[in-house]
Amino acid sequence: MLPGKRSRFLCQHVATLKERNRLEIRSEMNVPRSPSSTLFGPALLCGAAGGLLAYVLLHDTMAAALVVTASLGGAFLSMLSVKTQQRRAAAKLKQSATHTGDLEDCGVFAEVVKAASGRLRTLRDQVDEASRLRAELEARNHVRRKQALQFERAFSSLDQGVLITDPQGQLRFHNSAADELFRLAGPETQSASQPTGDSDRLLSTIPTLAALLEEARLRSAATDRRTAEFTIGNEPSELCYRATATNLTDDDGSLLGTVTLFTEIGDERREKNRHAEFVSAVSHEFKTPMASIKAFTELLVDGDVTSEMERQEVYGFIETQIDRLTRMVDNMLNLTRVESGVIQVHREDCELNDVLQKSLNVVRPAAEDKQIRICSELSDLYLAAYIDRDLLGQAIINLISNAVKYTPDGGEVRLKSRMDESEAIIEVSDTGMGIPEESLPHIFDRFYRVPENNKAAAGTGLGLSLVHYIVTELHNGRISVQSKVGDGTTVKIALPLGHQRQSRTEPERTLVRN
Amino acid sequence: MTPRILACDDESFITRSISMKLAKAGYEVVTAADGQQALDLIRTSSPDLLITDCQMPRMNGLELCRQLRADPATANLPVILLTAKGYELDRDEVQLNLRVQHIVAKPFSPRELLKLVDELAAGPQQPAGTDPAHDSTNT
Repeated sequence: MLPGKRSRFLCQHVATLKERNRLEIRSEMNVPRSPSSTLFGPALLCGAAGGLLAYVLLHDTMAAALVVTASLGGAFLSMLSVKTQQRRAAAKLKQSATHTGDLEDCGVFAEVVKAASGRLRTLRDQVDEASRLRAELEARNHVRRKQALQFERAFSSLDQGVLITDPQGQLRFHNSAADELFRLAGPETQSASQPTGDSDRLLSTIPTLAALLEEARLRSAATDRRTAEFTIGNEPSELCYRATATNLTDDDGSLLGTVTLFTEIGDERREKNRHAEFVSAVSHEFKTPMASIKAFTELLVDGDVTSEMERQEVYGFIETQIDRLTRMVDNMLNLTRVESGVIQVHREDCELNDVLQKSLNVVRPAAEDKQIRICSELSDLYLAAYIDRDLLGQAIINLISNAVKYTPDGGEVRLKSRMDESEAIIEVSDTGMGIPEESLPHIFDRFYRVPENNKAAAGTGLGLSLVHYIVTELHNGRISVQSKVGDGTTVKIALPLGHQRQSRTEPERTLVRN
Repeated sequence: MTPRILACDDESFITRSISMKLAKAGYEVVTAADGQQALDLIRTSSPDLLITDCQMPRMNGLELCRQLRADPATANLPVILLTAKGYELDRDEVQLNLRVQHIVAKPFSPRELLKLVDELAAGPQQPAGTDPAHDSTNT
């Protein structure tokens, strides 16, 4: 029985008990009324008979009258006394049922009062017990109501949409986040404030959801949790959600209802798509040098390369392509190391210009291939930087090869270094196609590729994110980009100088990315 | 007359290897670095066969084919498409609509490529013929 019902029942019970109590007391009180009336008749009869006898025996009307009067008076007095006793008994009963105490003044009613007050006590106890139970239930009911309210408020305040449906599939609860979804899904759904009446209409605005709930309801035995994904709106501003419907069952396994949670999965989907694009880009990137290597090797095997000069050229091609593949594998490996959160950093005092020069030499063939002029304006000063040669070298190679990649044939790529107060500044600039302003904030994001430049060159969207990580996270440096579409791009890196290193105390460390 | 082949790829190493192989076999080879350049070259030097990569800057291989098919003068130019992303290609679209004769996956074998070129250059089974620039069936 529900707490409310139980409390109502108890109330009724108490009222019934009280009523019965009153009636019983009344009937007990009625008993003593009879002696007074029954005594009055015989007393009257006795008086009459005594008068008649006195008149017969004494032939004296006076005496007879006296006898009659006396007996009548006696009868009246005794009646009065009984009345008094009755009144006292009634008062006693009314006064208290718990303490009857001295019953002597109740005379003939003593027994009756005793029995009645005993009965009264039992009834009073029953009433007390019932009242106590009722108070207890009301308190419990109050707590329950508060708990229910708490849950409801908690669900309502969630950013995640929540729906609760009953075993018949009717909506029993939906929070404001869920309402928002319904509103977005069906513009004609003005208000979702009447859940039960509009249940079907509301659910039908998201057909995938309606189907999911129907399946969860009808096939509740198969599995207690089901998911479905749906989108709301159209392409650019489209919202992706996953609905997870969980069946709630009673202790005996019967269906109580279904609770459905909505999770926004836009980021998840975008990440998945990006990852798919990344894998596709990576495989393309790998296949290109592999294709050259295979082609030239086959040419050599088939004897298609006849002159010694040509042969030397082909060997050179193969070597270049293998180096390129190696660099790509290095990039991939570094990324994996960054991603897995553990990367070994070996920082030491190095001549920065030396590292820059070596990086430049790696990219030079690719630049020559596109007739891109490479200008290096390295500082005349000895730039001592506290760096990891390989990692920073990799970052610089990535920057220069990006510059070469996105600069049209015949363009120019410039590498500068200088000392600036407490920092070493490195600048890589090109006369390439530039980066649109809206893309600038994203260029260091993993897998991000500038849509406009996507077709200009193949890439994985890894290079710059790795550069950013190496410069900022591993070298406490800063990186900034300036770009103008059509004019070119300049990437500027600032690194703390070698003699200033504060972190010298940790020459070799393992960085754990959080 | 020596059949003229246009090899188009943004990777100069690829065009270089193709031209080495085909030149040895007696073909005349011209090269282009992207679709736009190829389109210009086709209009000026009217090759007998096109070998093109798919993914290229400026104009990709598929767009190049689309443009060629739209122009009656080049509508029947035989095409071999090189691609590094074979599984992503809509083969029906490429072979039926763009009428690309062969799709060759990268890394490719120049030896196999030469076989295909020989077939197309000599093949009477190809309605495109060996000299599509003078083919008037479409006009």
